[in-house]
Amino acid sequence: MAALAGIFPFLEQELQSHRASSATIFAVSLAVEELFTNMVKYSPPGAGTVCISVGSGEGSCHIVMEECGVEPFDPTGAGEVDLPGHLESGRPGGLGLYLVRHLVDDVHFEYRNRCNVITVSKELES
Amino acid sequence: MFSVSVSEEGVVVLAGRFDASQVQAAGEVFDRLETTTRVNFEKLDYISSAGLGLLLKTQKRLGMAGHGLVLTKMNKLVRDVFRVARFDIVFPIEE
Repeated sequence: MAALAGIFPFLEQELQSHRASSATIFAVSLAVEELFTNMVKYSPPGAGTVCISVGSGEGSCHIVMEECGVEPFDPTGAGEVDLPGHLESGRPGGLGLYLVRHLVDDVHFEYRNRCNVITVSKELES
Repeated sequence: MFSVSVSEEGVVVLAGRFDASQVQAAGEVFDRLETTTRVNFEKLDYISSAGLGLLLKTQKRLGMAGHGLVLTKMNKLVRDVFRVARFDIVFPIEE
């Protein structure tokens, strides 16, 4: 998880250059953290690097996270979280992906050339 | 940068970015709490599910003994995360 210390300043600098609001920077940072930690958690030992790039168009920012040389793993395919149940039990498994779904506008997954490619989109001025 | 400390009055003070890499450090403070405790969020800029999970675990543990956390002075962005996660029905949140 030490990589997060490098990811956050990169995201903030890139998103500021695309004129994203502070609310968008917060939401996108959270989404990228949750998806990144998920990728690391489910990657086999010694798996490849996660490449992150930032772009924008039509009023939204688009963050692409790509991990190659791994089996397909689609975080968008997970079922809906039983949030009241998790809150009651005190074990909030799946909370990260729940937050991602509710804080950004779109999360798109595709598997191509043995790479998991996740694209997160969010309005720049949310 | 993240920091967690306990003031002379027994208030837990969070500051900076509470991400997944900081859960162990925060756990060393929260796991030692044994009574109702105020947590000051005034200087906390960011929190993700990892931090929320630690707070929920602590709240459940303290609740079994009739105690709990009282969260104070959250900024709007952090409070929005609590609202979306519906943690605002689990924790008392004060201005």
